[in-house]
Amino acid sequence: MDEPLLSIRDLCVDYVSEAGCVRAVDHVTLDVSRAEIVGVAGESGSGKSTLAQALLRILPPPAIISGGEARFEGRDILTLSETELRELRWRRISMVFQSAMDSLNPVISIGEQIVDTLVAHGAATRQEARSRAAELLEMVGIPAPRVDAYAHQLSGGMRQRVGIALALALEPALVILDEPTTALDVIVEREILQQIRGLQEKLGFAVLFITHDLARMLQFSDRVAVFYAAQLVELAPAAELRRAPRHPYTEGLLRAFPSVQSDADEPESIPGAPPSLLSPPAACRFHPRCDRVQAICRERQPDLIQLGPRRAAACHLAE
Amino acid sequence: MRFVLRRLGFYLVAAWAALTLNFFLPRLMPGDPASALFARFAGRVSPEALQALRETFGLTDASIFSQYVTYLRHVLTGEFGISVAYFPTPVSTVIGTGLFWTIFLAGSAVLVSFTLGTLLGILAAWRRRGWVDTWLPSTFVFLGAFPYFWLAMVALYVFGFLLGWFPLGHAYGDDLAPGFNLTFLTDVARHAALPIATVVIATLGGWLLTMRNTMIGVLGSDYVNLARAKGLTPSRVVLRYAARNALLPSVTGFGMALGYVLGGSLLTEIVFSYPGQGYLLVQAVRNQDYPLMQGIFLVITLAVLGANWLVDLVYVWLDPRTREAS
Repeated sequence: MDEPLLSIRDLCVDYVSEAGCVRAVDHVTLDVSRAEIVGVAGESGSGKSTLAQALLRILPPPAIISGGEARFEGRDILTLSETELRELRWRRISMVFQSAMDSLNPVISIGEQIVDTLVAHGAATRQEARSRAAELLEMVGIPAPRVDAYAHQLSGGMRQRVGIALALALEPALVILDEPTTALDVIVEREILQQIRGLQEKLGFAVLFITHDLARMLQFSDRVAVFYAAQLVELAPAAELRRAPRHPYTEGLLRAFPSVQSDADEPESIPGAPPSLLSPPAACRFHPRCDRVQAICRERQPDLIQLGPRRAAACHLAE
Repeated sequence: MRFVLRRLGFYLVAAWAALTLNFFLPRLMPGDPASALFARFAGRVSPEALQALRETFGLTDASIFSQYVTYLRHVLTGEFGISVAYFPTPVSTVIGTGLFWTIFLAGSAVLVSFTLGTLLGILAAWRRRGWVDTWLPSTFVFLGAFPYFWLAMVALYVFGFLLGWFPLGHAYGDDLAPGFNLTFLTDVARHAALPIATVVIATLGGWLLTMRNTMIGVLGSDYVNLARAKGLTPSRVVLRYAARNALLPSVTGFGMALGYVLGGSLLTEIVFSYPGQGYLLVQAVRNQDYPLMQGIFLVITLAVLGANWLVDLVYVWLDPRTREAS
């Protein structure tokens, strides 16, 4: 098999605060192949968005990447210089931000914001860039004349479409979607995801899709990575994960979503609350909430065990 | 464009209200201001000046409505009567020269202070905890905390009197005839340097801190992070995406500071005996020169309104969100 497009090895990200050091991403290892859609699921605060920002090296100041490697097209992103990073950003890896409301500059027209990107990367002159911006907007279903519109003149769904058009402007190899539809209603959410899927099939970029909505993710992704308390706990192709989860946390997550197909069970929530990362539970971090906890779970932290060519889980019971 | 005209309309109404107030206030005072004034000036001022005073106030025997119309016509034609203090110069001429020096002095002081403070604020926020950020805000806030007149007098004493680097007062040397030549302009600049510098030192801290604090907030926003992620150069991210947005609250402050330019430069002009609006106002009060006072008040009101209108226009140009808002 070829080398994967993105290969993350033992990545660690720490938030340094007065209360102590919080590890928001703890030894995460994950591959993304070309044109693959990898979903990253987990509760709030499980480190998903931090992972995304670490990949573009745009983490806000108190956060530092404290270890590991993230090889992208053969180069380690974490060791790139500021100039190399600028070339990588958007041209090779782009991102759709979580909040469509706040990620567009309110005082510059949406067209200008796309033009800025194209011009900064030398992809076009200002004149060319303008018509290219209009094309990009049309591609995501926004009429070309709206190129001069400002963010406040657009609906939430349209703003997120602008975010997508912007992310695809330079035809990157990897697009990170950081909870792209959290602020939107279900109908708009589905439209947008379908649109991304369609564009992905056409343009062939890989996607790292971050969300807390596991059901949505299972429909949308090829492979799913489940995060719990800053760690990767299970990795599996979407269909297999749905059919036979190997980590009790994944099982709990699946049970927590109502199923449209079967009218059998009421959704069930996982007891307890996600642990504080300031003082995570010893050994297996999920053991205080696990319904099948064993003695070993309290003693030793489970490793991420390879369970098949494309499957892995970090649970003593999966061995 | 419609917005601009609507704002203009609003300011015209405000101006009319100010003019009307200026007309009615003397008439609302208890007693009869005219008799009191006439009694005080009797014998000391020529009949022409008294007549000017009467006309400025519109204190004729005509009905109040026709007085009001006369007053408005006088204002619109710049007819404020004859100055008592500078008799027999017309008030409009007196104000004209004063206004010129005030706009020049306080205008350039506020402009320099705003520009410099804002740029330093951007720099402080950009290089957070750097040299600029550590030292400049506290230094300038410290300097700004001194009473302004004290700061100005110390500066005048040290740099004007002891060291003799700058002249002690006035807008230009007594031995020079005003004219558009290099000698005169350098002299004007030399005279203005100290007053401008003291105003800048006293007010820079405010601009710096406002800009720095807004910038820090904006730098943490999603759209700035996105701009960074887009691979734009740091200077472009900071200037076009962060500073452009962080500037908005400062522009509002700038509009208000322009009011200070025309009304509040009093202390500067007194300390440096600068022949501007504030200095004239003091002269007017000292000499009970009511026509001049009334004229100055009017000019200040109108100028503040005009300045605010201009700032409104700049704001609309800077922030598209205000275009549809009203």
